Amino acid sequence: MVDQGRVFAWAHRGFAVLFALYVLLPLGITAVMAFSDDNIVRFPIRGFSLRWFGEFFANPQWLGAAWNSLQVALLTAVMSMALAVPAAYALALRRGGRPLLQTVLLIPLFVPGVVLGIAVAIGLGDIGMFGGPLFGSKFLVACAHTLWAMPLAITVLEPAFQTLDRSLVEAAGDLGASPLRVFFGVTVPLLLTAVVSAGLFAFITSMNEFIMALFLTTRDSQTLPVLLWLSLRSSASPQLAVASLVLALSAFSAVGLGYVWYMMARRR
Amino acid sequence: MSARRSLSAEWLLLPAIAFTTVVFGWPLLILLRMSFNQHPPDGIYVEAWSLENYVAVLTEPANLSAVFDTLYIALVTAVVTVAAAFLFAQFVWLRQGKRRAMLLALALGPMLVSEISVIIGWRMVLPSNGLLSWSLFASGLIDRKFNLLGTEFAAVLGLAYISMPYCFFTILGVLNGIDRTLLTASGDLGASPWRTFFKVLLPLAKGGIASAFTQAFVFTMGIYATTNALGPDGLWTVGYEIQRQMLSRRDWPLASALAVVLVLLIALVALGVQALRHRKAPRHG
Repeated sequence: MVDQGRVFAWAHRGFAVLFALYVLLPLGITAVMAFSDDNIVRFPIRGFSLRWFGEFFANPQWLGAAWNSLQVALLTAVMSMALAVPAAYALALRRGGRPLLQTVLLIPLFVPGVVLGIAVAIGLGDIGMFGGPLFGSKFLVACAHTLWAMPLAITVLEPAFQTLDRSLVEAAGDLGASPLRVFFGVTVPLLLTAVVSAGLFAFITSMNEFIMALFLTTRDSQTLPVLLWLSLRSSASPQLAVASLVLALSAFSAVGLGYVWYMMARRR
Repeated sequence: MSARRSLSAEWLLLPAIAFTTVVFGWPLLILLRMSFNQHPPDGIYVEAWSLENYVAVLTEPANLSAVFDTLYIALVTAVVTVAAAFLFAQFVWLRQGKRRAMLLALALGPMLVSEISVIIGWRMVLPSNGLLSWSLFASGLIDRKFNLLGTEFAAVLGLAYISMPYCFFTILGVLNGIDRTLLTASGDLGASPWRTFFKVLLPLAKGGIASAFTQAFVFTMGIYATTNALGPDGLWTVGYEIQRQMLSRRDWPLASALAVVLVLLIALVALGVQALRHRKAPRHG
């Protein structure tokens, strides 16, 4: 008789292999196709070269979009950290149940990008600031992205703040440091790992987002994923694979950098 | 801790609250107001207090079918995602050490990938000149190439990819709280693996499955790029209709009304699942 338990275990293993294939396939095929020498995406791939990378790095529209993406993502990371670090600190200090204010801060996370995108475009689009229209500016896109990045950062930071060693903070206060000085001099350094991972989250969220950005950018401020979305139907060349790979690699290298920093900080 | 200290801590919330009010609260109010305006043939909007956009959303067949399609594809995706996430989470849960860490990285990896990269990846795999059809054809397993791009299957494949890591994380969290020896005990007492799975493991993980399901459902309702780029032409979601009205037709009032309806639908689904869970909970003890 066949042991049912073993059949079960093998079926489960088979499923896990399929699952791994499913997760790796979209990016794996992108990484291979980016090096294709062909004019269109087709199989079998007829030859490999760096031709489409050359085209990408010689094209001001793709390069400009990538540069815009980087600026918006950095701005989003800085803005959401500036807002989320103090907020998470204040929330963690409270005792008792989850306050209403915390729920309010987390709500934008549950609103679709398309709704946030048109709401910000209609609500803030015709305001002028810094001597130019807010609409189409990278600042407005970063503001919209912060609506997702900030609550995400708060959910990462709050538990870390809660497990913070309070006695160190109180000692600094007893020794006469002002609350602000305690916060930046003692609390923040103790929590740097959490702050860096929350910042990475914010950066990647912004880097990858393209629905809000679609409604808020003009041709000049277009981000890389927006340009990819707009070129999806018109282009059949491996160019899209190159641009998509560049986008994915920027997220992965951000995480890689964070990891290197973490390892170095631990060794010290 | 002195009263002065905790008072100053409260002030630290102010920037975040102010930001959310200006960039989220205010625009949503304007959006709500816009949804009652009218769309003239030769412009974007004129001020009015009219319900005609809502009437259009709730009575015109094209809009109604968009609402229906959005709910339908989100439901199918949520079921598929939760089933797959559960099976993989169970697989990871039973493993330890380095292998576990690698499997975790594999399951959470899609979180780092943009929706647009997922779309582009699957668009190279699924069409008749894509990887899947070609590799089956070249290996002699099939004798005619086939196309899967533009099917509901493709849409679900792409949509599940996006919410999978979140569902996986939620379910694994619940599984981690379950005592593994219960499964062994069930087997030792003579229960078949099927019986152990359905009578022991699933009931214990019920809460995690429900919240993962809600997550996937609500999350997918807001996505339209993947559905549009991988799914069939007839699959018309509310999100895509918003993009079309806003960017191509320049009908801001109708786009706003659609957005308000989409948010209400999402809130209804989230509250509905929650109510269902709490109504059922006492009966099961």
